[in-house]
Amino acid sequence: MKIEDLFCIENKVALITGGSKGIGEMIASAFLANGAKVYITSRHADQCEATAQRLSERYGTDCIALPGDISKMEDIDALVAAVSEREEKLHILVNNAGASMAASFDDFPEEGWDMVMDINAKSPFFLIQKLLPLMRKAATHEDPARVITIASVGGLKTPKFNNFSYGPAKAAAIHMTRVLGAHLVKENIICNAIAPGPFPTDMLARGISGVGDRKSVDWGKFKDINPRARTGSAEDIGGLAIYLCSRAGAFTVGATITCDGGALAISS
Amino acid sequence: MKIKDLFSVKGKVALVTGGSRGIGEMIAAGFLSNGVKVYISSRKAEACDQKAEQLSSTFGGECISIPGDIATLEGVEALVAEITARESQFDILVNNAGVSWGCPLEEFPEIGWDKVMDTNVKGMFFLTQKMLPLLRAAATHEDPARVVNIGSVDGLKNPRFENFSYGPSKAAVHQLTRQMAAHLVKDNIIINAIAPGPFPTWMLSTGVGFGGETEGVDWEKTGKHNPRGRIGTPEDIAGLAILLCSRAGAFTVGATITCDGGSVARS
Repeated sequence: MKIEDLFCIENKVALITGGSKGIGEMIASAFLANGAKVYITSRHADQCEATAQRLSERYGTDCIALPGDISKMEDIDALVAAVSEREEKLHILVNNAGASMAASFDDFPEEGWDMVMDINAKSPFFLIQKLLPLMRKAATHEDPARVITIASVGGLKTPKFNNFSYGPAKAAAIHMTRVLGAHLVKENIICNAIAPGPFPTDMLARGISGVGDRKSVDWGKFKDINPRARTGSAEDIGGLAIYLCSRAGAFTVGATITCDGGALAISS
Repeated sequence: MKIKDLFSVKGKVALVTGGSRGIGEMIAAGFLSNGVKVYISSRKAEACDQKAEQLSSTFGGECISIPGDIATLEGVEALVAEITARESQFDILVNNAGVSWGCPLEEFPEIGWDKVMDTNVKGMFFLTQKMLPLLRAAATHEDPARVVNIGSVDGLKNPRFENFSYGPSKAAVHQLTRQMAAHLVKDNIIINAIAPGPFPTWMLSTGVGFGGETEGVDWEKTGKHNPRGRIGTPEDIAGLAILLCSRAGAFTVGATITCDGGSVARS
């Protein structure tokens, strides 16, 4: 029961959608630092390649860019084909790619509904479906394959922003995790979700300042906003993701674990 | 971001109630294997002393027996006085001591209600309250003190047994976890709960008709009812407890995390 064994993810092959920045990049870093081989996707090919190269150099191990827009079915097919070409099995899928849209309720546009539902709920479903053959090959009763879906505390409590489709989409992802968790556990594929609170990402920056650049925000002010008096860090989200992919996490199934500094706990 | 740093619990001091057997013993073993100094308490002094000695010799490290009954306020106060005499701070409190009572609804007795509620909920609340000075002494913003409450899937879904006070008591544990967590996070004390499913314990053994035996009984049969096709192991529950007490767990607050092989998900 040594920590090195309980939490080992060495030599596992992982795919992280939206892995070029934000929470996806944090999880990619944590995986790479501990010996996993990581594929990252992103809509922005340049950014995807640049992050993969930077992380490969920093951690001295393989981080591979597979650019693509997973909100489109044809890109999901292309992504699955690209992974299948390179790997015989996939141990870990992190459904992290997400999007949000804020507008007043009266003017909330249809595209802001569809785009958010597609990326946050529909894409994880079809990505899991199409990656099943690769994940089945990695799955054993002793060490199941793992799916982590990145949801949000916005799917568990009322969000602070006018992001009317985001909360419902994340709630859908949370319940999908429970439903697919129950369905796939018999094949030794374990699905869980993480519900993050505030992390210093471009997405949260857009909600706060209207500018989708994390440098536009004074994150220090979360000292007075979040119960833990800070924003989340790579250690927080990366650590929880490692747990869920390790021996230690092999009996937790269909759960949604908050990583929010207590934002949900203090909500009334 | 190396695993040895993210999940380190080395050098911490922990109290695990009900640590002489079952899930408490598994968590104590996981802590001891990774450099934690562990105090275990249980009602039966002899069993508690013997287990502490056995755990120390099996896993190395220091396991200290402090017998006591946390179901009464006097028991809680005696326990806290005893550990205060030995340690100036506690990094970790695992509120694990718990009991159950099975009886048909029509005949369910008052004592079966009071004993379960007192041990599982009231004892947890007052032990945490009386431990606050010791927990505050260990707590920093960087590395908060941790309280891990052991709830149960029976507090989240319908139990399989006629344990009518147990399910409600564990639901109370989960809500108490959230409420205390919201209150104490500002003091850098992080409280979370684990909701275990089936583990090879005395308690489950009595429920499934094995008469309290944990060795030499057909746990595989019990495991077949679980979605994962097995029952829980020390690695499962200790791994989760270690996560919650480590750097990696320092942003998860007030949560109840299942460790149940998917029994809640399937319900």
